[in-house]
Order: sequence, then structure tokens, then C-alpha cells
Amino acid sequence: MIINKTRYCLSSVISNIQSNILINITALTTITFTFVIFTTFLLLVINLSEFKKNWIERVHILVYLNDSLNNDSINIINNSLKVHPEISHVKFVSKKEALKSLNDSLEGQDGILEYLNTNPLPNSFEINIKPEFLNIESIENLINKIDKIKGITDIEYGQKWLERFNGFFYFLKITGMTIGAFLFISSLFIISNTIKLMVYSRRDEIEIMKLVGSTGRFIKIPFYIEGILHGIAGSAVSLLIVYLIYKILALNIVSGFNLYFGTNTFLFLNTYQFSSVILCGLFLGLTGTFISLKSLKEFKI
Amino acid sequence: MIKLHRITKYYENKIPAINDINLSIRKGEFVFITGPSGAGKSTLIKLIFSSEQPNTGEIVVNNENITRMSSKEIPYFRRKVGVVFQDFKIIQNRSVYDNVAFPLDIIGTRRKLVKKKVWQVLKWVGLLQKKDSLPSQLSGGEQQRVAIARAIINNPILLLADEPTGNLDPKLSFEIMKLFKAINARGTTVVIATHDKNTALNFSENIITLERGKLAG
Repeated sequence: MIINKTRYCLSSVISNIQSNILINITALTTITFTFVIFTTFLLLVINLSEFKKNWIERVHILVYLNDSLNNDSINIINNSLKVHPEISHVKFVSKKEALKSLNDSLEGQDGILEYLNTNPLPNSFEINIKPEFLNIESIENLINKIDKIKGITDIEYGQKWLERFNGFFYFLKITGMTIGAFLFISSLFIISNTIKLMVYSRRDEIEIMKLVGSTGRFIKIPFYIEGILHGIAGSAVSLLIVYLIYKILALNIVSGFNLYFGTNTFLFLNTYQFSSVILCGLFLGLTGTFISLKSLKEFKI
Repeated sequence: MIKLHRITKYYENKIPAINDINLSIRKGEFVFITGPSGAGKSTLIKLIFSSEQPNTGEIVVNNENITRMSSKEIPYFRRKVGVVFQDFKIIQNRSVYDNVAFPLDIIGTRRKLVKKKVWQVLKWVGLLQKKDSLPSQLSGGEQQRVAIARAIINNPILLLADEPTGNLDPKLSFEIMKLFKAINARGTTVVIATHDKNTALNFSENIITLERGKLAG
């Protein structure tokens, strides 16, 4: 009995879609568009989070010293740094070594430095942090402690860059959520109206179903299946589109991005995230249909 | 079979379509409800079928008080009752076979059994050769026979018809009435609402006349 009822529902869904093909394509396109935007933002957030994580893992602190310090004072600072449990390794970089390093990095343009009469670079320490302390809070905590040591003029670990990055990241999240919410509501509206049009186009059939003893639930099931199909198909097609865009970007642009920023790879959604997008589609379809059917008097027995 | 006790039904205009009616129809009867347009015939059929609820009074069909049924119970009650309308109410984009099979499909009847029953009933109403036709390819009389076939496919205990010959010429009307008579002969209680008292007189002595929502005789 259940098999026969299921068969009837599915054939009803197919005939419904076939006879309202244009409405269905419009709904599917809108949902797909929504999910393309949503998934793109998701992908950006995931990759930027990963990038931030990678960056923090590779962070080292540069501590610049006052030029007037003698070797004894430098040794004292060296010892003061080593007592901190967060620090794994401390390396002294003299003014001379710093200039040489700069010279090496300016490959082909090293002539620029020939015009310098004196070495403007300060003595410094390069500090590496233990893996378990590679997070923003621990790093900032350490910086605050180091900053109190006398003879240190400046400390650098890319904090300004990180602040700007965090700001951008926050902006991206808020923008993504705002656009996502707006598109989600639009899609709900579109699905809800599509289902309403389907109901109107089958008004006579619904009336006859009621006459011959169909339950309200049985009349509604094909519409729910249709709404869910819209949501799942829309999200699946959007994932395919975003994947294709991702592949093109990964091949042509992102390799350069990776080289510049030092990340290992440009990530796509993992299985959990992939399933979540599909589930969001399902939820969208279900909610849209529910809203639509709730307001229709056609289903009153 | 059917008992109406002090039934009153009025719509938004507050003028009663049915006004304090008491009525009893026995099992196996062939009954006509006649009266002019607006007398309340269609409302009475709708009330017996639980498509409308009365404002006051109680309706008992086959020992079930349908006025006290929940909306979840009503579909199950309707499966025991067949209904035929003036405008046929058949699905235009489905074949004759699919239309007749419809009440069985929605309750999940096995395909083999559906086929057997549909063939039997189509043969009985004389439409077996047109089983694959669409309603638009049929005459009015044939479309009404499809509606009747659909109404009796579940072997209902009661068959209600609201102006079933309203859209048909006298010859076809006669054929359709003969069909109802044959259904009644198989044991089904038949109640037909019609404005045509002459047709009613030709087929039954059980005639209920309504006038402005009240029994006239």
C-alpha cells in the first residue's frame, strides 16, 4: 500500500513538473543563484580562516634593539627573552646580517643600497614560538611581556596586517550573512509562490482528490516533495557551478595567490560542509512549501 | 441509511439555504430531491457528503454521526460514498482509465487489483473501448459515465448525484438515469438532486421536494 501510494505521489510530482516546466525552471534558477552566492561566501570564509591559521602557525616575532646597546646589554635581553615559556628559539640578527639579508632579498636591485653611507638597520632578535602557543591570545600576551624589557625599541609580528585582515574577515562575514539572509528570504518567497502556482494549476485535481476521500496530508505530500526537490536541486547545481569556478581559479589564479601568501592550497568544501549546503537547500524547500500550503484554503477538507 | 435531524445551514448572507429540516432515507432507496434553483438541493447533497457543515442539527449516515467527525475522519467516510456532479469533475489531462482508477490510486490499492476493478466498471458503464481516451475526446454523456464509474469503483454504500443530467440532452439523461437505477439495483442507496421533476417521476416514487430550504412535500 505504501509503495503504491509512493508511486502515485512521485508520478504526481513528475507530471506536475512537466506541466509547469517554466515556473519550475524559474524557481530552480533563483535557488541556484542564491546558493552560488552563499557557497562562494562560505568558500571565501573557509579559505581565509585556513589562511589565517597557516599564517599564525608560521609567525615569528622581530624584536628591534636600541643602537646604543652594548654586547652585555644584548646578552641580558637575550636571557630575558629565553625565560618565557612560549618561546622555542631566539636568534640574534646583527645590523650587519640584517643589511646582508636585505641586500640578498633585493636581487637585481642591490645597487640601491650602495648609496647608503651608514647601515640604517638596527640589531634585532628573531623569536620563534612553541606550536602550542601559536594563537593570537598567547602571542599578544607574550608581546605585552616582552615590550616591558628595557632596550627594545620596537616589536613586529605583522599585527597591523593581522588587524586589517581581521577587519576584512569580519566585514566579509557580515556581508555574507546579510546577503545570505536576504537571498534566503527571497528564495523562500519564490518557492512559496511557485508551490502556490502549482496548487492553483491543480486546483480541480485537488478538489476531486478531496471528493474521493484523499486525506489532507496525502494531497500535500507531492507539493512537499516538489519543494524539497527544488531546494536540493538548486543547492546541488550551485555546488557544481562553484566547483567549476573553483577549478578554473585554482588552476589559473590561486597558484599565484598561494605563492605570494605561502598557503599550501586553495580549499573546496569538505564532505560535512558539502552536505550542510545540500541540507540548507532541503530546509529551504521544506520551509517554502510549508509557508505556501499553510495559507491556502484549497487544502481544507 | 441517512438521517437528518433539525438541520439548518446558512451562508454568509445569513439567509438559510436549509431551514430546520428533518429527513430519513432508508438503506437501498432510490430517492430524488427536487425543487427550483436556490431551493437548497445542492446544499443538502453537500451536507450529506460532509463537504459543508450544518450550523445546527445532526446528520447520521450509515450509523455515523458525520456532524461530529473530525477533519481527519472525513476522508475515510467519503471513501464509502460516491458523488457525481453536473460538471462531471473529471481530470482533463488524464485518460478515462486514470480518472476511474483515481479513488483506488489515492488509497494505495495494488495495481493488479486496480486494473481488474477499472476494467470491470468501465465494461459495466460501456466505456471499456474508450479507456485510453482523454475526457476532451468524449461526449457529455460519456464524460458523465466516467464520473459515475469513478463514483462506484469503491462499491460505495451511498451514491449522491447533484444535477447529474443538467448538461445532457433528454436522450442521454434517460441513459444516465437508467445507469443510476442499475446501480441502485445492486444495493447501493442512491440520492439524486434534480430540478427536473418529470424525470424524477419517471424513475422513482421517492421524491423529496425542497422550497426555500424547507421540505415542501
